[in-house]
Amino acid sequence: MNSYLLSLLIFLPLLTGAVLLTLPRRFTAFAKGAALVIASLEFLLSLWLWVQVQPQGGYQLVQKLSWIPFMNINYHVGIDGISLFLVLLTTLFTLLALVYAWHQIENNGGRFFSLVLLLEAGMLGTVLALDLVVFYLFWELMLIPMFFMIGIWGGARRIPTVTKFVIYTMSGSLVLLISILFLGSAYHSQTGNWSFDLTILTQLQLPVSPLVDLLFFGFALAFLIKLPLFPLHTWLPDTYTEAPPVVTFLLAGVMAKMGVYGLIRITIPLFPGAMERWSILLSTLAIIGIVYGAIVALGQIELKRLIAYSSLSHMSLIALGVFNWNPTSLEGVVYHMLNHAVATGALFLLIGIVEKKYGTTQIKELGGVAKQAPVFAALFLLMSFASIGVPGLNGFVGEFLILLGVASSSASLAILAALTLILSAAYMLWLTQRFLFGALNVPAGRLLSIERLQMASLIPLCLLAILMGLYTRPFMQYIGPAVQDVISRNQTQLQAQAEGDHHG
Amino acid sequence: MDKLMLFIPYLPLALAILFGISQLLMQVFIPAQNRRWLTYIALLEMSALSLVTILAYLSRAQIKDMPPGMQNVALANYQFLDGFALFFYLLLIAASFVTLLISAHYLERENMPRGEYYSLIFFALAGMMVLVSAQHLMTLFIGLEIMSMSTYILVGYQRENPRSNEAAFKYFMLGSLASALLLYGIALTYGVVGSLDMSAIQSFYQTHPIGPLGSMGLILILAGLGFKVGAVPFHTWTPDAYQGAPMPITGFMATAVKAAVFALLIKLLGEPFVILRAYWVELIVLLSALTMITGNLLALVQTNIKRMLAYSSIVHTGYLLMGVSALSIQPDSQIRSALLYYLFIYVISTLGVFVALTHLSGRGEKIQEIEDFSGLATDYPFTAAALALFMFSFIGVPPLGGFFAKYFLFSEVLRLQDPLLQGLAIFAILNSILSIAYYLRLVVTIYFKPVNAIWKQAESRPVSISFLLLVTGLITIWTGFAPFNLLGIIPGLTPLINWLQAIVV
Repeated sequence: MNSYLLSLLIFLPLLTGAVLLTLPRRFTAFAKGAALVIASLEFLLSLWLWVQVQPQGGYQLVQKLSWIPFMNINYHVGIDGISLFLVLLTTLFTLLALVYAWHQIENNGGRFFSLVLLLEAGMLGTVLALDLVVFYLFWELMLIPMFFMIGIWGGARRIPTVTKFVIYTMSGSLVLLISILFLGSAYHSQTGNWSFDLTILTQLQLPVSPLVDLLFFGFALAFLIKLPLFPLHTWLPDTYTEAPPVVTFLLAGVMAKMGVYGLIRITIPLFPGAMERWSILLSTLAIIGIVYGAIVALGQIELKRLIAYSSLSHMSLIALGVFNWNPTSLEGVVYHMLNHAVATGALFLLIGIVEKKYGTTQIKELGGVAKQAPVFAALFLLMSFASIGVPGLNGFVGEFLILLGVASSSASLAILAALTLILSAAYMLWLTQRFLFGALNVPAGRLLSIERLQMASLIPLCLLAILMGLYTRPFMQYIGPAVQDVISRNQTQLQAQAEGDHHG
Repeated sequence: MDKLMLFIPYLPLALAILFGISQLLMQVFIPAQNRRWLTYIALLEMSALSLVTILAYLSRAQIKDMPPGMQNVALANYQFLDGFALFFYLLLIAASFVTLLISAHYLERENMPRGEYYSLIFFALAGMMVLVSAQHLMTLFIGLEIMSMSTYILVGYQRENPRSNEAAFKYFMLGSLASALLLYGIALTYGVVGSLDMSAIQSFYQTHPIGPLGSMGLILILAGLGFKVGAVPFHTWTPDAYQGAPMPITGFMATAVKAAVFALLIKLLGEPFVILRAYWVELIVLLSALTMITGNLLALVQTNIKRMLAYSSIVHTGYLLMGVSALSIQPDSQIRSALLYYLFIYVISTLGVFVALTHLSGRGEKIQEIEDFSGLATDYPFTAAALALFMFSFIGVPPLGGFFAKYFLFSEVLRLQDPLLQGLAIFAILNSILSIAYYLRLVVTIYFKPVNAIWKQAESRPVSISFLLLVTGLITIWTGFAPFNLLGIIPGLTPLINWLQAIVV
């Protein structure tokens, strides 16, 4: 019954990261090497996981150990078709980030690499946890390495930026904590026992009351901040700009997805009724985010900020898919999370190269880069197309499914959301036109070239962008049943609640 | 022989006083170049004290079996070493031990006399022991006064430093006022009840209404204790006293003294006055909310680290008061054990912070501004990591002790399903969000700011400081993971919590 595979996956980077962190500075080379080995092992393990997990609904490879008996808190982890791909995403991105960062992070690289491992452990734990306390623990664990990585290796304005980022995220977390405790105490008052187990708490029947709606938002806030949903996004442009490119890669690629995952795994299953009541408001906010992010992206004069706002716009589309909550849109959401990670992550890595080689990311100081660096331009163009959603590339599949799902519940929302297709094409194409083509305009005496290791980290992303656009079966055969299972459980609970209300 | 056995429970107390006197005498007779021995002896005495405490606790069963007449001989009506008191005895001895050890380093650096300093710590400890095991309002007051008097002197121990003098004077004035209020409250209670025995008060109020005189007494007692724990609006002495006191003594006040007074508060409101809950619950809730928000807002604007920690300790007082107010609904073992657990973690991590600061502040405590600590992590990675750990624990980041302390306390408060307390808990969480800002600022300063030149002449860290940092740091981590019984090999904290629940009935 108990499988140790998932725990191995979580604790291997956690322990090695913690040990490597304590090594003195003269072991930098060793620490970096060891971290890379562990990250590769993790990736192989997660591939093995892909083979192990069956394409069906429900949690697999479950492990449950008693942790704090008198409060009935258990170390409970499990995986399903939704979390499987986030695990793969995390391990792949960690590995690529380390490869990319090998020559990029010069100051005290060993520490950086061990922090990346700790971050990986936090993200994996968040994705796999089935107990709210364990979830919360790993959720917070993600933040600490991120805090140090941005604060130590970030840009010139890193201190105010990182403070804002942490205060934003931790505010959400603490609200989540009190909400968890509220829910636990509600369960305690109904049954006389404590429980923080997700699979048990989802069966809790809560009456329709303002308090439950408040609790719903308490559970959603942390995730909406991480996502981020308009108007909680103000930390995002600064953080994405000031963080080192590798960190932004992980932040935009993986960590933002944890917000979406939290909504799908925790908030909505716990409060299906409240989700229905508030879906109009939240969808409206998502639409505003889509349009606002795109329009602001149009006006940006700096590469990183432009991609940051485009990321906001795309993530809002994903959020819209979540709020509409039907099988098609949800499949699209899970798939599009991966697409967005690949495209936006790769774009941030490419911009990192620009920043390093040219020393500037101001769009007006750059132009005609394709003449000097054709390979770079080709990659940038490919990823821009993937991000826009050009058919044949991965972005199209996800966007299409989400829009289809949204249209099935509300045509007007779908039409508004479809604006994203036009707007994103507008700002990305305009960007590529200014940045890649036209007259050569780059800082004098500088040459844009992609180093070998950076290339090694970009190629898998390009392959994924193409493959995931053409051949979706290996992904969808897992995502489909898992999504069906989540939705049907939700339906059952809603029905039970309706009956309960009827009887009451 | 039996009669002698009766006094074993009082052995720790007697020994603490004896050790205090012996330190004072040894100071006179040991030649100046050998004064270092005073430290070793004091540490040994402190360790002996903890052993004796455990022995004394184990022998208490014999007193219970004795006829009532004999029990009176054993002063059991005045004070009694029960599980609750045992927990605090051990916690206070641990805090005093740490204070002694860092004081040794501090006194040597500042070139100050040791003997009377150590003896004052022993006397303060004795006072606190009386306080936490008191069964009678008179013993309670005596204990409180012994503790306070010793602390007043310790705060003003740097005679040449005007700030230290100011702090001691202010602490003394307001502390005396608080003692007077408390004494007046006790007197009024005596006037109503006719006895100062805690169980007598409890049974009296079960059958009698409180009346104006009794409620006056209760409010005066609460005000007096509010002064001592530093609850808003009685907190004004705290930042000044904390800033002026020698660094180890600041730590001592923030941990041992605070824990002892809280023990008293938990006991008084949980036992003799619990029946009067309708009269004090709103008062405590109000105090708690005021304490949290005022402490937080003022901590945000501090630039001096001692003052910042003073306000941060006020904030934690607020959280603890929330737990105390929950005693009104259900004074059972669970809420009490959550409070004790919170105090335990708070004491350990605060001690750790003061261990680090005692070392870092340098000769004459020149380094006190938060900005001075910029770039500390580069040359002092271990100390910086420890400080960051304690700050994150204060914020409540899992899996550190501070997180589970908050977790247990809040879940126990919410479990009662009382609207007032639920509101207070939400208010407390909003306050925790505020507190992120100033705890984080220290970590940001230590890790991300450019290196301050003073850290370049790195002073070697004494072994004792490293040892204490390691121990307090590991406990802070362990208490977080601790409930986790690792593969059945490393015992989690569950035994401690179970034990706490068992002893505080």
